[in-house]
Amino acid sequence: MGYNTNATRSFEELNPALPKWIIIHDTDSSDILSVPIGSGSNVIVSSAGANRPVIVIKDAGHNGTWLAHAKKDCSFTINSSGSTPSTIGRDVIHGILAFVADNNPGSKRVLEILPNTTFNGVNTGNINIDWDV
Amino acid sequence: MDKLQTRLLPRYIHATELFDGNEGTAIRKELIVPVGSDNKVFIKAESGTATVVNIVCLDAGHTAIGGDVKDSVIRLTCAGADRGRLIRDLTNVIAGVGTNNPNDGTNVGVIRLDGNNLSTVPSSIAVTAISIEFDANNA
Repeated sequence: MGYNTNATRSFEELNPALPKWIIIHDTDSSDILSVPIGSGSNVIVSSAGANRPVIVIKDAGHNGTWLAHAKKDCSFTINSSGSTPSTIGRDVIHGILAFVADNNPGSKRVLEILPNTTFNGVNTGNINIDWDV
Repeated sequence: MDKLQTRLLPRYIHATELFDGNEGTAIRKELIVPVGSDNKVFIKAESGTATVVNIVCLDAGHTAIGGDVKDSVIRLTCAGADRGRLIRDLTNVIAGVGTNNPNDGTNVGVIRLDGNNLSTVPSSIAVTAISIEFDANNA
């Protein structure tokens, strides 16, 4: 698996402090964000409704046309859908938190969330990235 | 320093931009930045630049030597449809997933984005140019 053959422990065991990463794809795939999560306070979770969790990433955005413009926060909104709307937003957040909080060395280190796919038991629906929050 | 201590240090991205973006020309810009131990490096692609993947390095730039702190950006050019795969590959490498682990004996913790050896970018996607912008977003 690419581990250092001279090491006595696996990569994951030797790097417990390194963050995990989340990759988010906007619905039309024109915007994509890959961001470290879990090692600092760069992520804020809020909700725009029971089935619309909003995750804000500090300093990962910009206004205008990117370069040389003011640094902003960015967010992604998961407009999940399903048969139990009252619990969908909660289930999405729980799925993200379970990924972040899982410190088992063998667990995955990258979580990729795609639109219109099943994540933690619910359909993610449309995903919208907003660079200017 | 023993192996355990060295492995707890951050990994680094080492990027080079060549004049005219052409392999074989001289290095014009070079950026070495720690990645993985804080939240100051992330990767994004946006709709306004359809064939570019940006690696944003917060606070690693400046307007000029002695000038205001800005962000730096490493820009990788690839086919528009390949941006997602490129981001996935780079993220996996940074996170230590897969066989391109930068922590192995050859790479010793450095993720090389070499403008003079584009084929060595750790991805199955063809990267056709690397550029570096030191004067990116305002702080």
